[in-house]
Amino acid sequence: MENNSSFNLVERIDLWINDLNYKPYITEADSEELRTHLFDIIEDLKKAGLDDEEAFIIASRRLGNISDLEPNYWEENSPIHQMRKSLIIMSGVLVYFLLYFFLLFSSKLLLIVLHNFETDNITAILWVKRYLVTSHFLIIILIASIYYLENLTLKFIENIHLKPRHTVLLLIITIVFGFTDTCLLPVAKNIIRNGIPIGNHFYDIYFYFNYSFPLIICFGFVILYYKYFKKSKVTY
Amino acid sequence: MKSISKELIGASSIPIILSILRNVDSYGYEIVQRVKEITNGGVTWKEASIYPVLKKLENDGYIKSYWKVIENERPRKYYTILSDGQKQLEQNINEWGMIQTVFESLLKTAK
Repeated sequence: MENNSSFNLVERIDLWINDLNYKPYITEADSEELRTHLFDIIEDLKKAGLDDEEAFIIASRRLGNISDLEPNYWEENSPIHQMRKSLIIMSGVLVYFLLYFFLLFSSKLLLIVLHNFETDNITAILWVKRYLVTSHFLIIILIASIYYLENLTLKFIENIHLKPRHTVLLLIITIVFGFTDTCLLPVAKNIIRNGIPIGNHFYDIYFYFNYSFPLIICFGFVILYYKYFKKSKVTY
Repeated sequence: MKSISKELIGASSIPIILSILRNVDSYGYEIVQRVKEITNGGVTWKEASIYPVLKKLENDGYIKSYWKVIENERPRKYYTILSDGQKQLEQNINEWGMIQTVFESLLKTAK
């Protein structure tokens, strides 16, 4: 039989594996194992005289519909899925702290930069205040978009393939941001030292920020939770 | 000849896999081929269905997996039997032996 020269076996197998990787009950190790099995069947069929396309079609039929094994895979991969969920929760906590430290250090950096451009302290602190208030509004907009653009949000979450190394990266970035904030604090204090009222105003901003930021996040969480709680309950 | 029932294939899959692994470490495709060879095609498993069974055996502590990379070949996940697996296999062999004894005595009585 003529070999179909437009059929690319490696590409076709990669597509098959890609489909498999989107199934939530299949781990990366499972799909690699199935890929090897598919290749083994194809090699045997090619030795028997079949071309790439025929071998692939027969091999994928012999392997069968992986979706039929969904309950079995779910059951056996359950500890891995639980760990994956824990990883997502831990990453969420890290993202919170990452954002918190980012806003803290970037606001202090803004103060230092404005001071270097010879802006007076009152104006500089005002700009820091505006920056932090704007960040609160941006978070509210983000929460509102998650609330109203549900499908997009869910698609985004489903496409997250979180690995442990991503969590480690988030942790490292959070530590770096936290450390940078700690280093910038004495520099910012030095700049403000000129006048006590301004200094009080400076500390007040961060005092309120330490409450307003977690409050907005919690409020957003409660609103989103309530929405999904209502959807999951029976309403007559 | 009518093929063996799904239930019987399902019930026998664990002792068959453990028996094969008792002699030599192996991987999924090789185990499936070995079963076809031994039974002359009499027992054919849906090829992908062996993997959840292998996972179950690993989660139960009867076998252990490891990736083996041989030069010029694709990395393969091999399985090796553990001591708990050996004990489980012995238990399975005793159970099947008991069933066989029951059949033999029933058939003798029937004659």
